[in-house]
Amino acid sequence: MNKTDILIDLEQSVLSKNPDVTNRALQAVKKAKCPADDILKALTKGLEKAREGFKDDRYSIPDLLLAIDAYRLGVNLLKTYSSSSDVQKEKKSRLQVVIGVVEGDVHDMGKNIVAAVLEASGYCVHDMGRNTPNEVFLDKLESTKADVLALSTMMSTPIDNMAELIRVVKKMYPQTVIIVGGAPFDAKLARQIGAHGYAENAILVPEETKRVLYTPPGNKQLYL
Amino acid sequence: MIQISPEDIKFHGAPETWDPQKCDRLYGLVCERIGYSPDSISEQMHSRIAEIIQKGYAAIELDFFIRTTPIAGWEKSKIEAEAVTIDSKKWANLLKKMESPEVLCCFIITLGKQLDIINEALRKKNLFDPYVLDAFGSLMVEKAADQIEASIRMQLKKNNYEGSRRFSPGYCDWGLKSGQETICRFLTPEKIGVRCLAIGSMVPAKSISAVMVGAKQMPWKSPCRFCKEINCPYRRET
Repeated sequence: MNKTDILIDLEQSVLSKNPDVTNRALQAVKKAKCPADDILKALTKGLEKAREGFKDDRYSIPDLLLAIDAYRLGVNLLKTYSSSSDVQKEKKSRLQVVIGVVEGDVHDMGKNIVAAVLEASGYCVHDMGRNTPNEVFLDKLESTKADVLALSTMMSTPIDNMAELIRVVKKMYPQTVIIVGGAPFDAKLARQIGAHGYAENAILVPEETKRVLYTPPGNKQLYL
Repeated sequence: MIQISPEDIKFHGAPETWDPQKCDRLYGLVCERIGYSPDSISEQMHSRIAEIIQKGYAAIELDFFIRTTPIAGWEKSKIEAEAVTIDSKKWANLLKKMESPEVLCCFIITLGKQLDIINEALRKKNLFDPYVLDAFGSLMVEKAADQIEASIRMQLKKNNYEGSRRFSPGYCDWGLKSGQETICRFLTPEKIGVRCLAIGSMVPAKSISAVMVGAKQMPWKSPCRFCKEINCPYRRET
């Protein structure tokens, strides 16, 4: 097999729902000494196909999770390719996203999907985990000067706290765009609490992030 | 007033019928819950899911507590019991249609902290396995709550009372935070290792708190029939 076929195999393996298949494909690209950029492209293409599959109902949530797991297996292998300083430099060149589940909620499945999908879409994602206090988000925004803050909750009770965080972030970091998501939200509520963007499900986040990022500053608001 | 204590609660058929090795149906239910058809998945995936279910099953440390309190009265939007107030217009309205609603049976059930510990370990490895374990835990804790509900209803029946459906804080129009605070104050779930967080959720995660009404007669066991939310996913027909 030539390198192109090996990379197509890797891309397909992301959709295989079988970690053994992904591991074999990764061994093959390693053996063939495929360039790291090409490996990342193949993994990203695979995950993008899974995302498309989910959008048009060919894939279920667990199918998508398996694809994300496969993608991450590959990304972890890539980390062994480059020196840590190269990885850091490359990461810094990407648009920065700080993501997390706000304090009071431990449901993080949606957030995990969004984090992986944004990573595969080319963003550098700083995942702050779940049940994250507002100060932790603020500290990370300070150190990263992030372009995007993505906040999630599956419960309605932490929304007041989330609104307070958004208020502070808008004041302290006006360059950062804020996207929210989770079960209690619709566009109206997202707008009410001051978010710039809202995605109905985790899969639509890349499009919404792009929309908000590339909307002129004065117009960064949610349209209902 | 009728009293029901934890000793009155029977888990019918448990734990044998919960054992995934003895109950193929459990595997099917978990698959269904995560959105898979059990017949259409590969052998490799079957083994993976079955292994997670086995692991989860072994980690269950079932515990519960139950306590009753007499109903003192009800207004337009709340039910007043001696030790508990339930702020729910819909349930208060339902009480009007009952004959002698006299008792609130409150209970809390948990599958224990081991499931949370395993889930935490799995999430460090991948996303799929903890998703399946979470679905399994939700299924099992609901199954356990169903059994407590059935057992309470049986005890009420023995004393010539009827039991409503169970209802929990955060569902219907009963607020999560205030409801959980109320029920936790009354049940003191720390004694079975359950902590109610200020925001309304519970630790361990697979825990359920709920209340049932005991009355001499009740034509409807939940307010769903009178509720305008016809697309509510939790709607119950009786």
